[in-house]
Amino acid sequence: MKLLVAWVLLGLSISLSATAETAVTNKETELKQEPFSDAATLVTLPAQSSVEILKRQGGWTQVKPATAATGWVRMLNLRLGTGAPAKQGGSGIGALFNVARSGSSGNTVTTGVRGLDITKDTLQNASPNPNELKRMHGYSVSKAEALKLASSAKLSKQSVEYIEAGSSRSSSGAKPASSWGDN
Amino acid sequence: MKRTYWQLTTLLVGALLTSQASAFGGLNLDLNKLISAGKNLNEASKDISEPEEISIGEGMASVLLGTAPLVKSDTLQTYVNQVGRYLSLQTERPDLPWHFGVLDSDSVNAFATPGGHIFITSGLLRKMHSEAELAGVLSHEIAHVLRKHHLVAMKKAGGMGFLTDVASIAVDQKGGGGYAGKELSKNLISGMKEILVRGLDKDDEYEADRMGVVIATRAGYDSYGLPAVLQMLDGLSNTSDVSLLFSTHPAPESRMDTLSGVMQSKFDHYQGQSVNDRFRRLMTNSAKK
Repeated sequence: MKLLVAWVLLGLSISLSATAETAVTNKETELKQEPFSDAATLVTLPAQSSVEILKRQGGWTQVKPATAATGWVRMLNLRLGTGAPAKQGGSGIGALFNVARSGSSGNTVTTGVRGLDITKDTLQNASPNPNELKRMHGYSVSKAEALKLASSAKLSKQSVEYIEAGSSRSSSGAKPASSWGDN
Repeated sequence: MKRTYWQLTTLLVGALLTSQASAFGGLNLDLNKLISAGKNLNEASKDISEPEEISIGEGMASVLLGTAPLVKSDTLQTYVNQVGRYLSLQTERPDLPWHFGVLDSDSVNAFATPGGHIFITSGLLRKMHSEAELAGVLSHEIAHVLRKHHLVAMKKAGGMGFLTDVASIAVDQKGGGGYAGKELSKNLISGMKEILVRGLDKDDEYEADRMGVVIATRAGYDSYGLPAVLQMLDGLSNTSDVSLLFSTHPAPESRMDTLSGVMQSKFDHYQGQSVNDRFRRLMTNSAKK
């Protein structure tokens, strides 16, 4: 049984990675040869250009546009989907979760077909659950345990100041100082 | 002057609502007392103490846990606590009693309550690809705690009634209490629910986005974890799973645009990590468990 689940998971992860994810540019966007702002510009894609997503690296997404060669665009200049009404679900790890959930491997993630909904109605009708709060407190970790997890993934601290709202907020209509906001 | 007028209006509206509540719910509230307390508005508006903040947050966390329990996976809960606690160490309030929890719900959402309780639903977690995305969302929620957004909102909405209720928590604490094991007033609970249902000011959400990106970057994660989650949310249909999130936050597209405007190329030189493998392994294992 376990083997079967493993095979299903394996097959699923392959099919997930093989499924092309599409997106459209939400503004005129420079297609760069490398994921850097000073890399060579291959072509300028107009707004609403369809692209196939290949991978993401930091603030850049590698894409294959319908009309041009593979290159990199600013991640935040892309809207997932085809521009038509959004598709259902995401390509996250959810599918894996769901298979394991519905399998008969005795999982305890959830007992029902669906988890409970957190909506306006269920919140209004909720009664406090101090027992579950106690359970939550039982999972607390020390600073040392937290740092151990960080170092095992080789996460290293950076010094970064908070950023101000500034006048470049798009809703204010002001243009960002950098040319990036425009491309 | 404007502020005084506004406070008075809040007080009167509050009093009206309260009198209505007493008509329907049989609550025994003294209207005169409430109005006379208005004289001391300035005194009462002073900051809520940290122990009070924590007690309010525990109560609100307990209400959230009343809608959905925690996912029954020790591994997953511990993991999310480790990631969250590490992020909290990058902030100006590293010594709050931070607690993190994964709610067993298909609804796609994350929550913060005052004093350091942070929640993410399994529905949102399942749509993520990496630890950096998880870190981005937890950092956004941590920012709400740092900036006391919920407390300010509750004070605004609840006026004197809220502050009176908080004062009663303080009295109980002197008696050796804390939240655990005692009843919070019905008013306080309904005030908490009101904020959860209505959401925070849009500017609070934009601020939490900006701070969230910075906190995750400080921790060494890919700065674009939170933007990636917003991009994912932007691609979802407006089903019941996202209805609360969408109705209590600015549209994902506006949040992406706003972040794009302030981040510009400032974060390009941080070589943050996305930490995909561990995340994927943890998620798959806790699902199989």
